[in-house]
Amino acid sequence: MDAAPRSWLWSSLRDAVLLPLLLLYIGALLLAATPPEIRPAWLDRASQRTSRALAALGIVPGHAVFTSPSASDDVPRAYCVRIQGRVAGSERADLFRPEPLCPTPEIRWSLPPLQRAVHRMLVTAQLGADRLPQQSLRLHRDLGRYWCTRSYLADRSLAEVSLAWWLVRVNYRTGAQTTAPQLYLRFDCNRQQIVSRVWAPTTEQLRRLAGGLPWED
Amino acid sequence: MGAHDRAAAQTRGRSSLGGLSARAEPLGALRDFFFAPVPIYPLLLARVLWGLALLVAYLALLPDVPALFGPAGLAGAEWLPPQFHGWRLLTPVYAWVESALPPLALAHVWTCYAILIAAAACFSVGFWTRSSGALLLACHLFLVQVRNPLAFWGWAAMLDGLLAYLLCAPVGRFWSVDAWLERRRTGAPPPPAAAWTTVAWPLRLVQVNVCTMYYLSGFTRIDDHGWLDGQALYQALAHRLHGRWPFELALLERAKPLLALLTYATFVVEPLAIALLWLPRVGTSCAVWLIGMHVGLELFTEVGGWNLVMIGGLLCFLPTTWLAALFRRLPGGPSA
Repeated sequence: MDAAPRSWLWSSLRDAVLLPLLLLYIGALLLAATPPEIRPAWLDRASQRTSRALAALGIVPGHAVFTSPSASDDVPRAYCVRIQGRVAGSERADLFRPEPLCPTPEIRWSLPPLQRAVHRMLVTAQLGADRLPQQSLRLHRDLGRYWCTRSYLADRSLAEVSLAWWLVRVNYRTGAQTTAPQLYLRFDCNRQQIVSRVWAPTTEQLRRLAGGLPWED
Repeated sequence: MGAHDRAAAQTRGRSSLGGLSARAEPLGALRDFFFAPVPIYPLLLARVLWGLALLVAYLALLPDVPALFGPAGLAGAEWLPPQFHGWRLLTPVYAWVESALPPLALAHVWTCYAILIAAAACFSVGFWTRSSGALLLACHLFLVQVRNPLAFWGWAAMLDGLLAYLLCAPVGRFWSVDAWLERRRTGAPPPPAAAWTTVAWPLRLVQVNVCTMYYLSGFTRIDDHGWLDGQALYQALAHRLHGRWPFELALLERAKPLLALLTYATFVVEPLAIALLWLPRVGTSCAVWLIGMHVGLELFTEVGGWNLVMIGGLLCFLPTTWLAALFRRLPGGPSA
């Protein structure tokens, strides 16, 4: 084929196929990126479906970053986690306590990957607690299962693993700091199932469930 | 108007034919926007920044690879853990794939990880660029999108699309080990500046995806209490998970007026970036402001590779003359 007809063919294909595909793709990105705050209700379904379709291909139009966790003036100072394991008939021992002092007084050069992953699992489970309860439960089971098998106690296997997750908050107006438990979880390693899961326990509940407050020792 | 000057004018999408011609021939303007040659400089810098971001991030994961991605790790023993709802659309496909594969083994994960590290290093320097980029994207998709989407903050997911767009441009043909090896083979000097171009549409996709990031994050906040009240930057610095420095609350208290001012400035600029970045002159100021914001965020917060990713994308909105001047000073830059 001569260069001129080939060039014409390529231009025609480009205009007929690639250009519409690009416009469609950009339209999909914009539709998926339009948040509910400015999106008319009739676009909700299309936007959500487009977002899921793009996500299935690993395409992300954006993320809602740095949003406030609540409508109050209490802002997060630190998310703290403490995971303990217990061999049958023994005391609990710490399996994972990334920040014994929480909030940490250290400079944060980088967040340890395991701490980041555990934090993301806990936050994702919390956000999905109502809308996606199975996913939420699955994430907690995965945490329990993982810490059951990742034993620090040599050849002794764990009977149970407990996880306490709490938030230290500071009030933007007054500067007052408070501690707000977010989750208490207990996982039976032998039966591989959650035996206790309490969202936002009170300090009294936490004292009873955990045998003490996890930030006090 | 030479080819390079025309390409420079088109970087931000203005038709070099002028507004009247664009209105009279909208298809011509669209063709210009997507298919005219544009300078490739920003995509070359993005290649380096994004390759390095992934390389450094994955190297930091080395001690935790079994925990994050292995069969006995946080994500469990299935090849394709089904608990992440974004994959519901393709669940039957994944079920079939998983049934056809042998059980997931730690060796598979380590192999994928090793290939990813090598691919990221090669891609950053432009060695076997397209192949290493494709391998990098494939391994990254497997580890972070399929095995454990919660291993990184969201920037890692943003890179999936951005890397794919980059691979559609000849980012290995210039300022790369591939280009250096080719020059050694042929004895030719680096190509002249007029040749440092690419067809526009990969650049346009990067630009649009950067805009949609600010569009989504910016407009999500319009009814956010923390942003409306000027608290957002205070929150970012006070939060010890993300805040890099252990600021005393008393210090943050004294800095509240400045933090509130910067919060409101960001509150206004980010959602409007989707339009501002495309305007002549205003777009440059907006891009520079946002780059400065990300540099500041990197100094004061720990959010993984977010800032490198966004800076790489914002380079696509800077004037070509600036980037051309930078590349003329770099070894392996354009010859004229």
